[in-house]
Amino acid sequence: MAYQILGNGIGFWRLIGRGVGVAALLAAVAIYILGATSDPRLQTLRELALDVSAPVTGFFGAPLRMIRRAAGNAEEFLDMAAYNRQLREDIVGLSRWREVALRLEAENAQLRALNKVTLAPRFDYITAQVVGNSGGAFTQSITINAGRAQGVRPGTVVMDGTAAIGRVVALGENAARVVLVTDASSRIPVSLKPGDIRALLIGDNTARPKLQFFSKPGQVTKGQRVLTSNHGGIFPKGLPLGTVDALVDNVVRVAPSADFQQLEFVRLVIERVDLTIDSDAILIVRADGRVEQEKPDQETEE
Amino acid sequence: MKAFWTTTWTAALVLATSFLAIILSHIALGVGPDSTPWPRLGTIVVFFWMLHRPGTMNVPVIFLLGLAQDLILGDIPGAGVLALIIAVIVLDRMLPPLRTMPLVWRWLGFGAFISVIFAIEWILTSAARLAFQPLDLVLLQGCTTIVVYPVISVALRQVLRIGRTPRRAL
Repeated sequence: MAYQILGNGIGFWRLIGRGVGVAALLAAVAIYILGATSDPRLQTLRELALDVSAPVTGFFGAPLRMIRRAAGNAEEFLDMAAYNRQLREDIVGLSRWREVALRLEAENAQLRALNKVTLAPRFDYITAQVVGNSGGAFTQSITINAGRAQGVRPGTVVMDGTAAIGRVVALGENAARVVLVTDASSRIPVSLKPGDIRALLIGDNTARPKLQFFSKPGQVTKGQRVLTSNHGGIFPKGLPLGTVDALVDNVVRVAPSADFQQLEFVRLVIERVDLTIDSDAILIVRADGRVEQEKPDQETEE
Repeated sequence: MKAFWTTTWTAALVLATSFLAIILSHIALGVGPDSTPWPRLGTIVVFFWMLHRPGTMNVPVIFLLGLAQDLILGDIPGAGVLALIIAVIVLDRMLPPLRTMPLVWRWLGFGAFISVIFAIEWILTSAARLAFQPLDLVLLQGCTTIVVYPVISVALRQVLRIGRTPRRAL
């Protein structure tokens, strides 16, 4: 037998090596079980990995992102005339909508002031840069450079310019991981408009997540808008997600509104407290979206 | 004393290049399901050092790197590291003969290594999520990783030569 209790023969070291191998295998199995069951004991490790990797990824990714942006700019430059024409047309259309929005906002404020209304929770926004990407076949997630220190909380909703793209699942001090709506673990209660049909948007790691569990089956049509519905309380109501795209093999697919390829900056939706308005108050809607109320009676008493 | 510095330098080189590869796999250049999955640079570097510096790239180091990769990339913690360790155990006998073989044979060996890893990881991820994961993205990422291997291998061989060049006599 090559193994000696106190000897230094080759058999001894081989035995030690095998022992270490078995220990590593068992440790990996234990971590897998904890990871698969989303055990909170791994939270510290996740936070540590986020906080360490996000700045390093940001640093090494900067030149690569610059090259990619330059390539994109060159492409746009070659197509500038058509791009300008498109932008002018968009500006004309949007100017008309701006007038309509301002009129409706003022009218809305007046109507709310006439009643004792509890406004839906309003939101603050934080902008963050996308520094990391899971880039893998099993997970669709991104890492952003905003975390607990910036007021981000677990479950915080993340949007690109206009549409919801996912929510925060892991949080570091200055970084967070966002799981995208296309990820296989993503489940979002949604509402389809028009028709007010409730359903569940289920990611499956494909570009078109699927819709299931309709409240009114048979009324789903192509082109319906898919909005968040606030069932479950994680996503605020009414954030756009995409449109019903196709019905393939009895599965309804959704085309996300967000352009994931161009995702460089994201907006995080931070919930604020409720605001109750008294019947005699004047509601002031500031240009930056802040809502305040003022009581004329109090001013006269003073 | 010289042996100590050589060992330290090798360990630093192996760890630094492995972590750098994992970080580079994580850079956000194309996001979402429409973008091509990035090659697993971390796995390529681990395989390279297993061949060329087996004393340094041992099981505890592989465990640490696999765990770091899982945590940084946001995959299910443990799935990647478990797949990596099982692949190392399964293909343990394949590695020593590959060390002296030409690049093409090492490339084929890496193909087998990454195939075992992705197969195990696919099974583990599907089991954890209670649903079969789409295979197309897995195959695509596996292929891109295999295609990239020779480039990284040649680059790392150049890195290996750092510090070995004899000083020219003054």
